[in-house]
Amino acid sequence: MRLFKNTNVPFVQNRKIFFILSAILVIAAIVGIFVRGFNWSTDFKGGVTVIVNMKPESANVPALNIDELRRVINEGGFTAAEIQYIGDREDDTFQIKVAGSDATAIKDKILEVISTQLGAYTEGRNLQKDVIREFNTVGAKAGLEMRNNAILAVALALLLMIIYIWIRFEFTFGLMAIVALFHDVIIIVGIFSWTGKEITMSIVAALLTIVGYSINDTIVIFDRIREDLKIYRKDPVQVIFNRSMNETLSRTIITAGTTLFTALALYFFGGPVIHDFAFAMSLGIIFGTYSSIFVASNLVLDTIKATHQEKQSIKKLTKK
Amino acid sequence: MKKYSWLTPVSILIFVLVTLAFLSPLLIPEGGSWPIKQRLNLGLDLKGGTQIVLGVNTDELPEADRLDAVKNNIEIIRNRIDQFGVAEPTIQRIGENKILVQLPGEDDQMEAEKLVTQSAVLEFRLVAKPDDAERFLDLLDGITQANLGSIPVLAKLDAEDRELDGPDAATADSTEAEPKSGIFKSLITTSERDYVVRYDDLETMRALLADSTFIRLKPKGYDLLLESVDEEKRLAQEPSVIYVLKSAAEVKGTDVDGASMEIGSTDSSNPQMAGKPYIALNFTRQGARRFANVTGDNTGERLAIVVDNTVYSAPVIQDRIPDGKATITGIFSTEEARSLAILLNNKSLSAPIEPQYSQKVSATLGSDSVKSGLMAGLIGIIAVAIFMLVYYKLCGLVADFVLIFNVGFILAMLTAFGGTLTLPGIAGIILTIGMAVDANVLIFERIREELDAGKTPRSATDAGFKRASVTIWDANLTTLIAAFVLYQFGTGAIRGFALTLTIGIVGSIFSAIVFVRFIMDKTMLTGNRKNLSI
Repeated sequence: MRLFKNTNVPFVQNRKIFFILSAILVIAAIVGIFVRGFNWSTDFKGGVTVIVNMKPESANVPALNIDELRRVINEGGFTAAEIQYIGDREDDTFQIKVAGSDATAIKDKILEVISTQLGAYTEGRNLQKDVIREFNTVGAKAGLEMRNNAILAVALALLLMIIYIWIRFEFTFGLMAIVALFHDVIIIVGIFSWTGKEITMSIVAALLTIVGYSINDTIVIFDRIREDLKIYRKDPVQVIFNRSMNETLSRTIITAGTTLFTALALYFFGGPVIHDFAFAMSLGIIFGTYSSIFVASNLVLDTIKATHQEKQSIKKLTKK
Repeated sequence: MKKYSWLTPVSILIFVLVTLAFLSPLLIPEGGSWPIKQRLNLGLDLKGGTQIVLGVNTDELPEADRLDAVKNNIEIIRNRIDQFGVAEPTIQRIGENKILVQLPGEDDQMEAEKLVTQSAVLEFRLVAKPDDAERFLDLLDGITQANLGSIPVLAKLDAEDRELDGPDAATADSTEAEPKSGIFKSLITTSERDYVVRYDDLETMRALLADSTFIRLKPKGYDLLLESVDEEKRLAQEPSVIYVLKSAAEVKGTDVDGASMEIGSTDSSNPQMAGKPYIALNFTRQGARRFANVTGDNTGERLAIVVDNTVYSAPVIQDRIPDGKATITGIFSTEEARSLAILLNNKSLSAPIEPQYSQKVSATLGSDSVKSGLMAGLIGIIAVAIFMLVYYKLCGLVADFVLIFNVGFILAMLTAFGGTLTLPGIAGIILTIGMAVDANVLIFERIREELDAGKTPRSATDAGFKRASVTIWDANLTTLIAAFVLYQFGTGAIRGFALTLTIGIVGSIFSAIVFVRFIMDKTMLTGNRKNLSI
C-alpha cells in the first residue's frame, strides 16, 4: 500500500497564502491572550481545601464511595475538584481541593451540595462541627520560583536548539525552526485562551511535548533540503525546497496521522481528566505538522532570498 | 550485506535483558528473591501517597516577613525533595503558616519524609571527659529519683520494678541505709568506653530525653544524646551508645560551606569508611579556623558529630585539623547519607518547621479515569501497530515487534531512574511511541524510494538506513538537547517529563537504527532475495 507517491504539491508557490493564514492565527491568538488572559488552574493559582468526614450515623448506610463523592462535587459546580481519601479508608474522611479564594463561602457551598445530594451521610450530624474537619486556603502548587525556573529552562533549551541547528545546518534554519515553534505554541495557547480551557500542569507538559514533536518534524524536512541541495545543484532554490517538501510528504503525513490518531484516541476515550491534555496534543500535532511544511522551510527560503544570502547559505549547507 | 561486529547483537541482548530485568519486579510478587527491588513509582494522581502537614513557626518574625518565610521554606523543601529524586511531589501553602506536602508512594518514603521534616542542625560537640560524665550521670540520677512523681516515664518504670520485686523488696529498699543508684541509672550500662542503653530500654530512654520535666531538671552544661541506629543494628536488637556531650557546640552547620556524599574506598584503613557512604564537609574560612582551634586545643579528646540531636560518630581527635575539611562517618545507608548531604548543603529554613501530622492519601484520580486513560492509550497503540503492519507488511511487523520492547524499555528505565508515572506521563509515553514509529517510517519510506530507483532490496535497505539515520540523529538530538536542559534546570513535573522524553528518544533511536535493522538483515535479506515485503 502506498499513499502520496510522487506528489508535486506547490507548497512553495503558494507560501504567501499560508503566511497570511499563519499571521491571522498568531494575531488572533495574541489578541486572545491579552484580552481574555488565561484560565489558570489551581495548580498555578491556589484555591481552597476542605476536609470532610462522611461517616454515616446509621450503620445501615454503606460507606461512601470516592467516585460517588467526586461525581456529586463535580456536578455541584466544582468541575476541577481534586478529591482524595485522607488517613485510613475506614475513617471515611476526604480532602477536597477546589478553585476559589473565599474559604468560608466555598466550605458552605460544599456543605450544601453534600447535604442535599448525600443526605444519608450527614443526617443527624452537626454539619459545621462533625462533617467539616478543616477548611483553609491553599497556595499554588507551582509557585513563582518554580514558574520562573520553568521559563528559564525552556528559554535555555530553545537557545541550545538554535545553536545545534546552526552548527548542523545554518543560522537561518535554526532561527526559523524556533520561529515555527513559537508559532505553534502561541496558536495553541491562544486557542486555550479563547475557549477558556484551564491551563494545568499537564497542559504545560503537553506544550513541551508539542515543542519536541514540532522540532522533530521541521528538522526532517530541513534535512531533506540539505541533501537535495547537494544533489540538484543546478535547480533554482525554490524548486529544490518544494521537491524536498514533496519527497518527505508521505512520511510527514504518516507520522502525523499515527501520532494524531493516538492523541485523538486519548481525546475521545481517555476520560475527562486527560481530555484537555489530549486536546492540546491533537492541536499541537496538527499545527506542528502544518508549520514544518508551510512555515519553517518557506520562511528560510524567503529570508535567504531577501538577505541575498542564497549562495553563501547553500555553500555552507552543502559543505556539511 | 552489512557485516556485524559482536557489538550489535550484544547491545541488543543488553537492551532486552535490562528491559526484562527492571520490568520483572512487576510480575514477580513482592518479597521474591529477585535482586532488583525498584518498582515503578506511580504518581499521586494514580496511586496516592503520604501527606505531611508542617507548621511554620513564624512567631519570632516581624509580621511583614512571615508570608515570605513560609514561601521560602516551601522552595527549600521543594529543592530538598527534588535533589533527593522523588519525582512530582505536591507542595502548597495551606492557610497562613502551614505547608502541605504530598509525596507519591507509600513504601520507601521514610527518607523523603525525613527530608521534609528535618531541619538538619549540624553541630560538632566535645564528649565529656569520663570523670565529668560519671559525675553528671550521678547528679542526674539523684535529681530524677527525687522527682520521680513528675516524670511519668520513670514513675511507670519504677512501679513495674516494684511489682517485680514484690512488696518485701520495696520495704527492704526503703530501710536500706547505703545509697543505691536510682531508676535512671538502671537504664544505662557501661561498655568498654561508652555508656549504652539496652535495646529494650531504647523507647523508654527516647521518651525520657524528650520529657519536658526531665529537660528542665537536667543540670546545665551537659547533654545526653543517643547515637544513630541503622537498620542492621535495629534488626539485631543491639544496644545503642548514649553520649554525654558538652552543651556548647564548637562548630556549627552554618560554618559548613559544602557537603557531598562519597563512598569510601574498600581498602580504606578506617573500618567506618571502607566501602561505606560518608559525607565530606568543607568549612567556610571562619569555620575552618574554628575547627582548627577546637581540634588543636582538645587533641586526644573525642569530638562528636551531631545532626538533629543524634550522634553520628564521636572520633578521638588525633591531631589539629587545619585544612577546613571533615568527614561524617557512621551513617549507614546510602540514602541516609545522600539526604543528609542534601540537607547540609541547602540553605537553612527561614523559620523552624514542626511536622503536625502525616497521613496516607489516596489517588487524586478516580479509578475509572485511570482505566479509561489506559484503555485509550491501548487503543491508540494497537491502531498504530495495525497500520504499520498493513502499510509496511513484514517490515511493519518487525517494527511492531521492536516497538513492544521500546515500550518496555521506557517503563524499565523509568523504574531504574526512579521516575514517577502519572496519567499525563502515560499519555506522554503513548505519544513518544507515536514518535518512535516516526523513525521507522522515515527509514521505510527511504527504502521504498531507493527501491523505486531500481536498487536491489539489499542495497536499497543499506542506502535507506544510511540516509534516514542522518535525519533521525539530527531530529532526535535536537529534541534530546532540549530534554536534557529541561531535566537539568526544570523542577517537578517538568523534570519528570524531560526524563520520559529522554528515555523515549534513546530507546527509539536504538530500536530503529540497530534493532530493526539487525532483524531485517538476519531474516528478510538473507541469500539473494529479489523482493522485500515493505
